[in-house]
Amino acid sequence: MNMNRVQISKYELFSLIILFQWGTTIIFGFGANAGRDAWIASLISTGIGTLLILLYVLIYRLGGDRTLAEWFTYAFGKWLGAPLSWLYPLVFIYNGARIISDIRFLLPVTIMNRTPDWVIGITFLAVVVYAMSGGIEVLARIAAFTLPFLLLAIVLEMILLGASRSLHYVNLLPIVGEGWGRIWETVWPLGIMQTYGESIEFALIWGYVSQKKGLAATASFATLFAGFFIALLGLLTIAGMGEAVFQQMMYPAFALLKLSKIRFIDNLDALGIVYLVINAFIKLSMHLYAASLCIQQLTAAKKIRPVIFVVAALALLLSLTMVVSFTEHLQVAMVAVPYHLWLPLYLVLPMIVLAVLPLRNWIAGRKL
Amino acid sequence: MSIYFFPWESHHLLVSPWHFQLVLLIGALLGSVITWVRKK
Repeated sequence: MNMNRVQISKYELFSLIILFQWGTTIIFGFGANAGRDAWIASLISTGIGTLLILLYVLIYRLGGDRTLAEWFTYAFGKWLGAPLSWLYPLVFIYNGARIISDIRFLLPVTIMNRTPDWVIGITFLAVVVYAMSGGIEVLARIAAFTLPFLLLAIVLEMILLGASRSLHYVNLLPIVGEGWGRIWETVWPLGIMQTYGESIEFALIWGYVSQKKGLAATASFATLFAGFFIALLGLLTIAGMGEAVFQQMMYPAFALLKLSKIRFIDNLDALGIVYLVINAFIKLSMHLYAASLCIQQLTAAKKIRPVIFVVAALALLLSLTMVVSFTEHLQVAMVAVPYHLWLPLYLVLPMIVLAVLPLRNWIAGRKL
Repeated sequence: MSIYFFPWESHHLLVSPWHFQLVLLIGALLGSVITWVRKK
């Protein structure tokens, strides 16, 4: 594909990856099952997740800078490759629908109590579709613009929490007191697949980065940076509330923000809404834009805009029909989706492609 | 219509995830037909 006209800078890619990986994890909390050791599980997941991102970059490079939509047809031919490639946009649409559902259920219980959830979902999606219509450059600039503000808000939150003496580091002890079992259960596969496996979507937009040199370094540094902050927020939440409350809370980040009380500066949970809306906006936009790009490339469509509308309509339909119980909606992300969808698509198939690509390149070289 | 009718519904996914996997495979095959026709 000719990708020369649209270009994003390395910093824009860096910001996109960070906000995408933060996603709704920053609000729902990471690894409640690991209890007070959730921050350790987060750090381990980040380490392995970075290796996974490097695996995707390696496949991208070995495949001659081909996008995710072209990996499988290049490696296996069009008859087997096309069906495998089509699985990805369908799962990206499902992932996008999950984000819409998160928004539909979180906003009514926090700030917009009397607004019907479907109104929230449709309105949010309409804004996302508008931004996506501007292309990946617009999304990348939004991410680049909002990242410094979010970082500032997190630093401010840490200062206020520290100053209000709400953090009790004894809550973190004993470290790994229950053994490594529950930490590993959190890391594998959910911790790695949800935050980092989903970043396979960036294999569709690496072609737009203006400077290809140092792509692996940018992607891996962004992943480490995002993972560090997820772990840090987890650590603060456990220190502030203790293990039992951390595990029971549906939205621990909101509860953490309410802990800070210095004179008139309190009820900072509005800041949590800002985190959620920005991160969910970027994550949903990336899911749906990646699905649209993938479908555009697979159908050889000339324009992406009609594809975006179809993809957004499908995501909305899925979201409106996927949640009967919100508890089950969260449970699915922990026990069903990581094993039955993400593991085969984000790890097994890319590993097979990686094994086949050298042979494919050798055959392609002999034909020249 | 049952509230658990759709294969991507959370309860349905927890009980029988292969229903959704099957839907994905059928969707992928249908999409592939467009790819095979348009990218000859």
